[in-house]
Amino acid sequence: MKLSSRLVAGVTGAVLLGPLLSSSVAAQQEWRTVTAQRQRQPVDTLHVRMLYGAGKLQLGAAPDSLLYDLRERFDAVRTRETHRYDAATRTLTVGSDSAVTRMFSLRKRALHTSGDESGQGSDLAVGLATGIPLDLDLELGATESTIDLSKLSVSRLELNVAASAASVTFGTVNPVEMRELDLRTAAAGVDVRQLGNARAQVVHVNTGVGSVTLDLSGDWTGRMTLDVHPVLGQVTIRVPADVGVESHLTKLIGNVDQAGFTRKDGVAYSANFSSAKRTIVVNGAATLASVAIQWE
Amino acid sequence: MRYLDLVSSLLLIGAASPALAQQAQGASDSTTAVQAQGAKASTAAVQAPSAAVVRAWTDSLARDPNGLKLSAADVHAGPLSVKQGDTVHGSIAAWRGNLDVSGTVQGDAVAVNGDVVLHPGALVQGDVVAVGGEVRNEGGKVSGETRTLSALSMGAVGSAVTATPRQVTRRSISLAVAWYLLLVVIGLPVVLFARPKLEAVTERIRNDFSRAFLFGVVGQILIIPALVAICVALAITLVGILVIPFAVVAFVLAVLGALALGFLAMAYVTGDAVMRARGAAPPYGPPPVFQFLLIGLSIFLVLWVLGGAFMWAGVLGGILRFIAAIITWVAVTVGFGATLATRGGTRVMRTATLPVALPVEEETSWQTPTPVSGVTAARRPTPPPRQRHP
Repeated sequence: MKLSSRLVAGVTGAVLLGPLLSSSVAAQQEWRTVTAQRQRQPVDTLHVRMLYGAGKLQLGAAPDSLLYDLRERFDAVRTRETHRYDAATRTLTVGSDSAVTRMFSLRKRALHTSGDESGQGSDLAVGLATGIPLDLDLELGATESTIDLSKLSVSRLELNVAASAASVTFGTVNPVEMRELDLRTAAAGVDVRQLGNARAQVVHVNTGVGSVTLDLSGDWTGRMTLDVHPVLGQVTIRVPADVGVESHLTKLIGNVDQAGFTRKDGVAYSANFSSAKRTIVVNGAATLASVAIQWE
Repeated sequence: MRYLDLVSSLLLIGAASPALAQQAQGASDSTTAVQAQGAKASTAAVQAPSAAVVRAWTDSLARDPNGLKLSAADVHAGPLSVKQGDTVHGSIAAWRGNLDVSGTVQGDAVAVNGDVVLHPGALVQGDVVAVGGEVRNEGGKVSGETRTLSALSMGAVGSAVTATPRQVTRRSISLAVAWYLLLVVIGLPVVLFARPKLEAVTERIRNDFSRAFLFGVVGQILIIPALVAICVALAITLVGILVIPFAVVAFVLAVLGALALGFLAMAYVTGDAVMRARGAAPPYGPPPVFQFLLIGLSIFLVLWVLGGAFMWAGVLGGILRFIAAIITWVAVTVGFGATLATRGGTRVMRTATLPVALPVEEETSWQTPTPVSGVTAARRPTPPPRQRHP
């Protein structure tokens, strides 16, 4: 009986450990690099749909002669990055070729973080044409993203970030007015720099369990509206000294830090609001979250 | 312990075999077609690839998310050039050589293990792709996309190269382990809740192995005809047509259940036999059914792991897998036959031994018949006195 029990335990243990050992012994990385460029074509708007679930992302301006410029490096064992361009709809789609692949990619990345920490992870560099209005729809998960929209003409930006760190920079004034800027984050840290250059009339920010920093510096005039809804998170709004602020923020078991503001009819105004040449209106509610308006 | 060591060693061989398979893959030339590794084109004469290799490679290229569809007829060995003023009606691909384009290509321009060079005045109306090389645009125009791929990401789907040995090995071992775990999961409730049925089937296997095998073969042959007959019978009644889908599902479940119960019984018998041969079975008391079941299943698992572990070894792997398949089929067939013979374990086999005829003793047999006139009473038998040991 003793031998029998040992045998059963040994066999069962070996069977359960076998695949694990097998995967670790045979764990292999098959790195691939793919580059793709398309020469510049006369298009009225370039739509970009991106779903990137693992690695480092860099998005910026492409060389003048190109419509887009992609440079990918990925482990073909874990994930299959893909892209396609539909000339009829002028839509560039970039990302993993299936949700299943993406899921496994994320799972395996979690098991092999040491390789990623040493800079051996996947990365994707995307260059987009300058001078062509861009309609950007970016979904990023478990990534470290640097999105530099300087020199680009962004007519719409929807950015969904989950479990990631991302920085978005508008280094130069957006040549076109942005119809909509929608920022949704979950368990992410997002830093938006020089948002004033975006020329967005309305900025929507929805964040959950994370932090978002909005730097409103930049070259802009007139009136901008911020619609902010943090839940279990933190939103910091950095405002240039010459900008007047009209705040309609409410809170539900949260905190709204707007020191130096004066209240009138339930609306908080900054001290310089009446004399300011450019103003922002902040709407929204902080639910179990905090919103801070800071002056630069 | 030696047996345990042997089983563990075999499983470890299975665990390490993908690495061995990978080494074998590295030595194999058959996969070079789908994994171009950046070699530059040679100006020397390049041997034309076989049709199977080209087909496998074009399949892989078509399946690659960043690839494209290419006809095998468009692939040419060695360096190629499209001179100024020339027009290629369709696509063109250079195999292990550079593709120099100065003219017009109305389709795609591709180089495998070589560069695509677009000279001034060149026009490619499709895509320009370099696998294992680079695209150098020195003034040409591309209507489509320009891509470079360090290697293909996908394996071939063609008959020449279906998958890498490492992939096949890992898949085989994973499949064997998955089946083992599934049968263990099924076996546990069978032992807990249907142990009498399992033992009835087991008894049939032990006592009538050859007939169980015969029943199993006949049963397997009759599965499809029986299903058809049931459907026809239901269809004849018209009302039964509505029941046909449910009947089909019920029939399939019943067959699967019979196969599973039979194989578990066979695994139990195997485990029991192995442990008895080693003298490790308990001499008295109820047998440890689940342990015997696990041991039996483990033996079948080892067979399949061995077969899978040596997939990279070519013929040897094939022989091992064939042996495993034959043994498993016999086990399944015998178990299935025994399950049918016992009607799913509900009919216990009658033993062939004749009942022992015991002397009939009546309660009053010790009495002496008493005549009416009367006799002296007989003495009632008593058990003999116990012998006392010193």
